[in-house]
Amino acid sequence: MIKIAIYGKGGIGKSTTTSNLSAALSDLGYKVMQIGCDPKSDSTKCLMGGVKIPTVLDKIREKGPEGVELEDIVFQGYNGILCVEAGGPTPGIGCAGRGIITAFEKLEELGGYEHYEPDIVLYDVLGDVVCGGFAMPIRGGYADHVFIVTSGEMMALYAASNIASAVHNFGKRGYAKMSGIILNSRNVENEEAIVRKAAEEMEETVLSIIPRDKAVQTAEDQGKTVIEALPESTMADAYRELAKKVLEVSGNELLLHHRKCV
Amino acid sequence: MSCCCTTENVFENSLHYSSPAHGGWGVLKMGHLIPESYTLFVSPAACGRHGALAARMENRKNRVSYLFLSEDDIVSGGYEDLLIQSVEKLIKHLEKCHNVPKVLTLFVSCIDDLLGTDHDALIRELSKIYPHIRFIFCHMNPTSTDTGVPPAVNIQNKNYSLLDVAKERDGGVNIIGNLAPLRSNGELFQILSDMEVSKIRHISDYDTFAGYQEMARSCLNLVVTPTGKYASSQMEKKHGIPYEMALTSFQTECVKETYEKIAKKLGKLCPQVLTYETKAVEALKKVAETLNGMPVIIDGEAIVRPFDLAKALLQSGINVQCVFEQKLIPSDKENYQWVMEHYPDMTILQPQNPKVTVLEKFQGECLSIGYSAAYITGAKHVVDIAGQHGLYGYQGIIDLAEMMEKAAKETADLKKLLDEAVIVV
Repeated sequence: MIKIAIYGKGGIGKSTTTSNLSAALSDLGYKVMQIGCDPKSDSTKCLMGGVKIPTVLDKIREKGPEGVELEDIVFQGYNGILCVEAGGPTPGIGCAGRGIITAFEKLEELGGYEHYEPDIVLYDVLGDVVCGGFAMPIRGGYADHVFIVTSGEMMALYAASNIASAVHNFGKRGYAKMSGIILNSRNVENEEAIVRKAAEEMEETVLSIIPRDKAVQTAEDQGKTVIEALPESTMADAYRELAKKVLEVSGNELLLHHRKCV
Repeated sequence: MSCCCTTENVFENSLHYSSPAHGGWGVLKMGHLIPESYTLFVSPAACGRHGALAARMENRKNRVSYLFLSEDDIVSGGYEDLLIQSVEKLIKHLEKCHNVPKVLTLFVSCIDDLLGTDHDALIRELSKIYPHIRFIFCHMNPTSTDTGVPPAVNIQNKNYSLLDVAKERDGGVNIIGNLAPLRSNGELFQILSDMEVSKIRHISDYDTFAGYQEMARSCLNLVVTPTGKYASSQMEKKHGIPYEMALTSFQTECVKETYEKIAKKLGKLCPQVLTYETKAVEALKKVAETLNGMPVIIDGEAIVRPFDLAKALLQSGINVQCVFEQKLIPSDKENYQWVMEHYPDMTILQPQNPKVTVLEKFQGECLSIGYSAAYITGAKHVVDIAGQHGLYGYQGIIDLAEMMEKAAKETADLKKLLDEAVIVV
């Protein structure tokens, strides 16, 4: 099993990128699980036909900590992708970071990974690494690889730098390693050059450049990923290309070997 | 006084009241069961009060130090570094005192849960600096009370997690779940010996950490209290030691069934238990005669499964009128249902529900088994017992019956009993 965390500033297109990545990986024959780690809990919406699924924290609130079962929190979306949303507290109240920790602990306690045996787990994580809770997916036992989604906008790059810094800081503990930056284009002037320069300063590389394309909006309007709604589009090809690159840097040999054995 | 047949109505979630008689083994004391261990308790200052007072009163104060957290420690991101620095400072001090522990337990509070501390990484770091000391994180986090692994369950698991996998097994059996050792006069020891069990082990038997490792050699874990089940299931995974639920019961037929289950698990014949059983039945009969209809109140803080005891006493003709229990535990549900079916007027009260503070004191003679119920009802006679007091098997029934008889003949000085039992509010 390969576990990948995708971080980035809020609104930068993490969930869109992650969902399309999940769909592309799934189309390649891998069993994929996507875990949304964002209190607004819409990471997996486009994998679920535009429907928001109940979150782990919703279910804990509804059924009590001991009443929740895997079937309450894991849903099958496009092409059998396993979708989970950690969820969060009531806006303005509570602790979102603790919410992520609680959701992760619950999924682990219920044996989610052992039960479904996904080949690839993708954590779609909100914004900056603001506290221990949001750093959870980076930590030992969770993600092996971290990718950062950014545009050429200053605030997105600032957040990316913070995340890279957190991953590097944790490096000595054997946590997840930085595996590349994904440029989700916003048509900022000199965007590619800006992001490449920033990546260099972070001692990272730009793994993939996702062009800006209205296909994304068209697919989202249908509650789908581009891979599902517009599989013949050039944008779908861009996501497929991203999937291949992610596999390359995340140890696809292991996965291919695993597939052959199965 | 209340009467209800649904658990939801009887065991309600409410504001909590803590009577001066409420208490028992705190998590710190449970952690101190680990031989040659020392504790660094990490929490805001007020959270350490209970454990510190109890440690002082029970001569354990030289086994614990405190790191009190401030707002700055919590928000600055320096918490993990602070922990390591504090451990270094503490060990330096302990070295000077020639009191270096074999195990350092880091007790953290709910604050730590919110910070998402990476305990494994910290333990790895500390173990590199101090390879001769074992480190474990333990939790004093009452916010986990309603989860599958509440503090009392978690700490037992942590204690046994320090056992290394043994190279060889022997014919020993571990007793798991009870904090105080089982009373040595119990027939359990003879019965297990008759089943060719070579050694019966309990964590409290050991003075040294090296000696404690012997528990990993046992071939079976007997879980005598429900809080030990999780630890036993984890030991089964790590060590391959199977476990058998052998919960304390005051019903003679259940005791017999338990011994038969143990024998089956060990692949042995169950020895004759009729002599023991007869004595237990006689003891119950005798106490029923002594009490002569005196109302009896059972306290769930004294007896782990109070409805098991209620059923046993009611079947022996003893006038149980009231059971104090905060929350029904699954292994006592069947007994609860039996009690409510056969004695629908039975009063069930929650000792921590504020409603109990406005109850009228019990009028006339009555006997309380346990302190909290005694305090709340004003019972004149009190059985001096907390945390089940090592009672087990037929002899446990006999001993409890004798304690009841003794209590029924005396007017209790509850304050004295509480002081002697080190109940810290």
